[in-house]
Amino acid sequence: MIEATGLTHRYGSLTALTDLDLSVPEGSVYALIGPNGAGKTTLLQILRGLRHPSLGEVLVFGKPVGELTAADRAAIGYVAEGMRLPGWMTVGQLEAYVGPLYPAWDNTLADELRARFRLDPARRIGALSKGERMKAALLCALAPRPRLLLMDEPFSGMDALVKDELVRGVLESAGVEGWTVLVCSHDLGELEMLADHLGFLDRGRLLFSEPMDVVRETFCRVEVVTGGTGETAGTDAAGTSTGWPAGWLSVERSGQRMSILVRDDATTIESSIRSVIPGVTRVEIRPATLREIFVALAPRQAGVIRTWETA
Amino acid sequence: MGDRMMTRTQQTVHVVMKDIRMLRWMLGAYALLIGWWTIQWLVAPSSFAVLAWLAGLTFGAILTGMAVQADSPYRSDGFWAGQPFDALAVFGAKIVFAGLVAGGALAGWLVVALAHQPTASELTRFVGRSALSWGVMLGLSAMIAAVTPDLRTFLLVGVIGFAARNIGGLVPRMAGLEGFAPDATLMAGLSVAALLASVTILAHVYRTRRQRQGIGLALLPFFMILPASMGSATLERPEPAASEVAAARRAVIEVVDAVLDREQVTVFLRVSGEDPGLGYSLFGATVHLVAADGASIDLDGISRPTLLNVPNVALGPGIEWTPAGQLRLQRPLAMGIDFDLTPEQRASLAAGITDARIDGRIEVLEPATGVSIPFETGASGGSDGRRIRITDIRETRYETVARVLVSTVGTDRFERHPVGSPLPEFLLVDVARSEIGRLDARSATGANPGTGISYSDLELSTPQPPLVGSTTRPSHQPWSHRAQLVAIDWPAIGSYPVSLTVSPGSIRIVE
Repeated sequence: MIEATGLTHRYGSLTALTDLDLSVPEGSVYALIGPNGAGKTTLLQILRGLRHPSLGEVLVFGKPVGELTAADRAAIGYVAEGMRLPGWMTVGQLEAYVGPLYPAWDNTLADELRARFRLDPARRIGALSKGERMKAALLCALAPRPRLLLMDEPFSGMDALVKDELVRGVLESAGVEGWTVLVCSHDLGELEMLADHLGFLDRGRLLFSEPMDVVRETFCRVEVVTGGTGETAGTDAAGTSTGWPAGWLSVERSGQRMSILVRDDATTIESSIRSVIPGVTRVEIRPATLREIFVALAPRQAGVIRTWETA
Repeated sequence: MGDRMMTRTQQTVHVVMKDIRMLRWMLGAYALLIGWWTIQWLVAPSSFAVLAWLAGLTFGAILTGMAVQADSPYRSDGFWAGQPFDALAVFGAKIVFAGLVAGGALAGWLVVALAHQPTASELTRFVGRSALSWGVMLGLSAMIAAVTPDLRTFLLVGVIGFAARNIGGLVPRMAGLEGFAPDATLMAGLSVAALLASVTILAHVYRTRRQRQGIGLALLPFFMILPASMGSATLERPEPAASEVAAARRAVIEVVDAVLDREQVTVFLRVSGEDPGLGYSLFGATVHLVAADGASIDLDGISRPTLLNVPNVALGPGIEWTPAGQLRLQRPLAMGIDFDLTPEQRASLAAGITDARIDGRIEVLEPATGVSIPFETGASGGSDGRRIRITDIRETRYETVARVLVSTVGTDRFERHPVGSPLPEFLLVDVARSEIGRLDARSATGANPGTGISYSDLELSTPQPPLVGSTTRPSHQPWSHRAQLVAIDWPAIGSYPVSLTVSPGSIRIVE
């Protein structure tokens, strides 16, 4: 559905995306996470044709973005945080304006979404709250039943209930109608429910892109209890890692307990732990949450593993 | 909702309708402004009416800018950009919107022009020039709006551009080029080029969404219109009409005598063979002298157009006006050419002149009656591109004074005479009694503001001498109430070159 190869985008001297390769399979719900300024918005804008890549090739529906026909573009739903909706229109007028642009616009679905989002069709968009404006934008993106849905921070300003409803709605539609969804968000809990693929973008580079099953198998939170407070290999006086195994992304230590985020083969983690940390009395392994992965990867600098020590 | 994709044209209409709905209140205010200004120009052309016209133009430019910025190609966060719009359809919608804004104004302007009853060619030229003026302004506005991120920046750039254009217009004056008048055809061509460039850049920005390129390109049309602003300085010496006059309608001019003093050559001319219905005027004369010591001297001084004869004007069956009393010309006719002689030239000429020639062009004028309206307050009428309205008539013990507003279609900064077309002469005519009185014009104020219509506010007073053909005083109220106010125009029908040989013996040198 989406294939990007060697994608680079520059804003003057600033490089937002660097030699990025990305593949989003048809029918998948792909979550793209990363810290602020990682290049997520730029990537989505390129996919929507709002920006031209400086280098590389981007295919959507098997065609270069610049060669998409009007019908192709009508099969893409796009919603982004901060999108400037026409504030003078009412919600109803917005629907009436946008609807005719999409051959597949579904009035029944639009009515359902409006009811679900509790949007008053007679209210002016300029008078809506930030969250309500995002709902109106989402309504316009979802009602055409797009084959590809691009969402940049779609949960911004929404309350927990609506987020949950939206996620369920998207999942339902994506599953039933085979939509492909690419979503960037900092609402990691919602993404966890939604996504079946995950990519992590940091400073314009894709650190990894995996199916969620693989992510859950390879990113693990390991709780370790040691028998004493003896020296632990791998830390220097400053607390940064010097000798941890390469797959250990973060290490937190509190007394005799250690919490380690590991990216490794789950079957070999325990033996690896016991070989590195002496006096281990108990090891608990569970799949890492997206939040834990994000926190471990986001501030990571090359070759440095975050280490926390508390008394 | 839609069963199939909208075509590009359908999308264009869709966006135009949206823009009209969005700006409906402002468009309503704009329509009121246009209506008000139309009435102003019809009833009382004045500097106030010019301001209203400029306000309309500025308002139209802002409306166009707002429509473009509603679907800005500059910003990537615009709602329209995320929708399946054809970029050229949106571009087309903005052009259509600008066309509607310009069309509304031009409709009002056309009503004003038609009230002047212009000829077909005058009307065509007027509509073309007006459409070009509005097109350039709205095209530039649309282009600036497309390369600026918000309305505030758009307005700021507009104000800076306007100021830069006006400062640019002062350059010829600062450089001492008071008579600078760029070629009218070139200026019109540059304006057309600026309009086309603006539209092309707008299309390019919408199609490619490359803002930086757009910003760079946007400077190009601005520099194209800059020379036009420099041509507003007054012409010292207007050019004669270019078309050649048939030999049968030409008068023969001879030099009878010439006097050369320190600062002027005064030439005495004899005119023969003239058509009694035509006027002849000598333009741009230069004097070429060859001194006795062989020095060749060209005196290209200031020579204002000199009327060489007084034609007759038919005002109706059996009634003809010859402005003999008012325009009595001395015979032979004297024409002065001012210059500055260098000491060397003066020394050469003191030794005598062996050869002398005067070159110039004769412009041929064909006086004709224009507007003819009853001599009463509120009367108005138009003819041949000129509209006259009597706003007040005041009787005094000695004279009748009429306040008259005169507006003329077809003069703007691209015209040959940038100071405005010459005013007509005004007569009071009582056709039944074959009596005619020429009115003196005074307290003339007016302007040629570059709107395509110039105007003057005149006070016309009845003359003290008796009427032509009658002993009745025209200040006599019953007489004037029966009379028609008639405007006499002297339009040029063409010109021809003359080269007058001056016998060296007829030149007197006065120290």
